[in-house]
Amino acid sequence: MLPAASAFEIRELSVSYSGVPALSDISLDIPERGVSAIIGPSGSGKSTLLRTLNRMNDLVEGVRIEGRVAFRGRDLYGPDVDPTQIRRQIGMVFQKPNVFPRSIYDNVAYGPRLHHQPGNLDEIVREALVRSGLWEEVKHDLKQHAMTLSGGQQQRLVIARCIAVAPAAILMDEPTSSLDPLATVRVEELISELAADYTIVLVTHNLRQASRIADWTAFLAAERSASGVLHGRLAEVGPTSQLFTAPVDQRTKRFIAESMD
Amino acid sequence: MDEQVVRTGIALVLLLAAALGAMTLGGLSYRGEMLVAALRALVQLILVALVIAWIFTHPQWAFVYLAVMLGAAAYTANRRIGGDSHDRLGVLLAILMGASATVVIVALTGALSFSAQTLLPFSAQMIGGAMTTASLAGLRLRDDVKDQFPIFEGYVALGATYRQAGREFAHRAAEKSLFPTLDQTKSAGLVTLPGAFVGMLLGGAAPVLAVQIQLLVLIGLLLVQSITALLTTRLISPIDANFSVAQISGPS
Repeated sequence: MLPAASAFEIRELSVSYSGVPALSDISLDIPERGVSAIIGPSGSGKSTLLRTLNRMNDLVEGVRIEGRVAFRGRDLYGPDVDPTQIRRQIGMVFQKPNVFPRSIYDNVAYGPRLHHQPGNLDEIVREALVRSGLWEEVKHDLKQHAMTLSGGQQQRLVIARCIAVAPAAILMDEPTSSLDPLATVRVEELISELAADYTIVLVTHNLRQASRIADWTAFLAAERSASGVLHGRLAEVGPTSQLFTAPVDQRTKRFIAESMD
Repeated sequence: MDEQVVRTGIALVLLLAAALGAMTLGGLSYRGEMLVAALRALVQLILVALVIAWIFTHPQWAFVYLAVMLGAAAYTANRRIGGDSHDRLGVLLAILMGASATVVIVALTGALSFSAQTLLPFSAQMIGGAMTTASLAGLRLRDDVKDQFPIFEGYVALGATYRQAGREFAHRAAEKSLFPTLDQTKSAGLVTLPGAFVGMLLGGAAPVLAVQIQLLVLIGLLLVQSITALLTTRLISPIDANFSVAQISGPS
């Protein structure tokens, strides 16, 4: 079963770092809206795959990307593509909350200021904080330094910062891996709410999280190449419920059985 | 041969021999390096003295000398930073702007007479100071970005160019690169006697004149380094050239 409308189209994608393969021959569609999870063991290139979707891999020394990655029909690696425009359109939330050493307000306002976004800046900041569920907790002191927030609040601030530039998609690289269980629940709830309006691609090592909040799930298997290096290959993709209850691929079956124990 | 030259030569040989002797007695290594360093200094300084003496009699060549020095300073600073050819152009501009702003003020006010004898050594010293600042500021910028890469990445992920993402880092790197000069300026005369001052006293100048020249050098360096630090951190790329070149190719 294929998703109705694809946000991302990935075709024959291979990625290597300084000649060492990280991903081989991935072809995958990621649907518009909703949460799509990428799961797999370490070394399967989950983060690498995520970072090819908004060209954050450009920052990695010696990266080589072959194949095609398109967002809404547009080749992200085409010759006339400006990576900064791609990253504005496709936001990213990282494993550890990387708030800027500024006030809460200035964290959220950074993107709109950078892009000279039209509209009232106070209003943009407020709305982003409301959407990320942080407004009630911080509205009395937006000038407060962002580093004074708790880990969970910081991660929701990073999500607010991302929403403030009105992206079409948000990539999340294990966004709750550094959070406590309560903060994790709040961020998961937030992701589910945002999924109504945004295409969210979530890399997670937490299979229960994928089963809780993802509509679609892709499983990357780690293969060992002739030279002994682990690299990722797509084993299976489908609706999350199907992938978890009736996986077709043996590697998926084994991984789910081992991880859910 | 000039008697003074002979006496200087004898003193140099004795000084070096004593240094080598002290190292041998104490069992320190690097005696070979010390000898080579001393010989290099000897040859280089004699050559420079000959070139400068020639320029003093052919002042129209002073600009060529300064241009060569400027190029060498930009090349050296950029190599220390690990920059590419674009960065080198930025470093060159930063050194040029810093040094020339200072020299222009000193020359226009008449604080130094408009002659090769005064402006050449002064300019050379300013270029040298600018080179040190450019290296320090550039290295500091790249180290800071590497140390706090997740924050840099956060800016980039919001659609900032590498330069925009590096702006805050640039600001702090420029500030920090000024610390050594500020310390040197604050301690001048107390902890150490600065080079120009000592040189002029040894050359027989009156202390009052020596102090004037030393102040021009010290305060001049403050201007050189402010401008050079600001421009270097804004003109070079905040990350290594190697970083940013993703090699992209179409479907095979």
